[in-house]
Amino acid sequence: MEKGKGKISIRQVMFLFVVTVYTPSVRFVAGYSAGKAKQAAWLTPLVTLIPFLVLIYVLNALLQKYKGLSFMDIIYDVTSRFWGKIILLLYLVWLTVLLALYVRFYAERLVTSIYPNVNMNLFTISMLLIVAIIIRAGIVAIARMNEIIFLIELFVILSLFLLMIPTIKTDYLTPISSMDIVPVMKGSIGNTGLIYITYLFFFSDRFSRTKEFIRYSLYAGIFLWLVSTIIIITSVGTLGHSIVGRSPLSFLIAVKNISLLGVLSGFESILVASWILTDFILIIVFTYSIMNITKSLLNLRDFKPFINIFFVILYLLTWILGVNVFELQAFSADFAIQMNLLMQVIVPILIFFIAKIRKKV
Amino acid sequence: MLKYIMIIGAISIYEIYMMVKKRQMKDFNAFLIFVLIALLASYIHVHDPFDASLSELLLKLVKSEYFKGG
Repeated sequence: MEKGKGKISIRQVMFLFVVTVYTPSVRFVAGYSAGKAKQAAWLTPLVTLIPFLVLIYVLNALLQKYKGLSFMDIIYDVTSRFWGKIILLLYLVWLTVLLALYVRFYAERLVTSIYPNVNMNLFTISMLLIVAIIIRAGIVAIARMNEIIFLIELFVILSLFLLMIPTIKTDYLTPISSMDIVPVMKGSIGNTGLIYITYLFFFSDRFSRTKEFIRYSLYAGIFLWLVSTIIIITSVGTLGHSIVGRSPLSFLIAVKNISLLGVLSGFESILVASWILTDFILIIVFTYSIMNITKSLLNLRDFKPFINIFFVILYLLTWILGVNVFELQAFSADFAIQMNLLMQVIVPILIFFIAKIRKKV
Repeated sequence: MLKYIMIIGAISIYEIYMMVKKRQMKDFNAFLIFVLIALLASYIHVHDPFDASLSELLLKLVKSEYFKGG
């Protein structure tokens, strides 16, 4: 599967990418898109394909030119070591804040969905402990584990979609007219802010079979477009855009409405189980990226001695980040998405243009 | 605050011991930076010197509609 020791194939990278995007998509995309594009929200993932393709082109050009190097090394070579360190410091700070947000959301989601009156620390600390142990196994073990989690995620999302088809009302998804173009464009920002592939490039020195990057990226893009569309169609089609736009965890509410033959219900537990698995991958992948940035930034020999102390900082940051879930949602929609756009789409494109000007690609 | 100092102290002692054992003392200074950040984070978490969460500070910075209410 992987070409060299300690390396992961592009196919595995794309599995990691798809799984890391799943959790924030389920939590955030439907609500954000419905709030901006109303009944036309299900068209927003289609618009997201455009910046995705641009980003893929840029990252592929950098990856093919700088074979066997990480994104940190690419930044150093293109911008200079001084500016590279500053850019990487920004990435380090932002990724840590983003990771803290996801750890907090993971715990909040469990408490608000199926475990009320349980101390959030129980979920946060247990997750961080597991991640701290597993991350030492390296990216190859994580990528292999993720392949199984990807299949589970695929099974869950397809099963839920099939079960939700009878509850979808086409009246909630139409009419669509030229008046929806601008709202759809605005709504697509939510999807675009979740293209986490750039963050995976912080360990691009571990990628093998890089020539397949474009092909597997296209597969991943089409898959994510389908999954995002399914999530939005099922949420908006079941509850209507006004409810979805205002409620947190709208997809979970839509799943709660599933009743098979009027007898079987409680399918949300399957969704929550898949959330925990994908959250685990998201947290571990982001941590791996952060540790790689730290290693490069501080010229470390090994990042393993820093894992435990980093998780203490992360745990504290999850509490410093926000008082309640409403504040976190506002932070997610009004700040995190814009910052993500900047850090994962605009900065790589800028680096590509600088590299072009300096005739490095 | 004391419990966080104890946890950070315990982790630091263990990791420094492992660094000495593996002869990786080159990374010691960087590790100290992390320890200081952890202590600072625990102080902010316990005493809340800004009287606001990080989200609140950042949302105020971008003039979010979150504070408009209604």
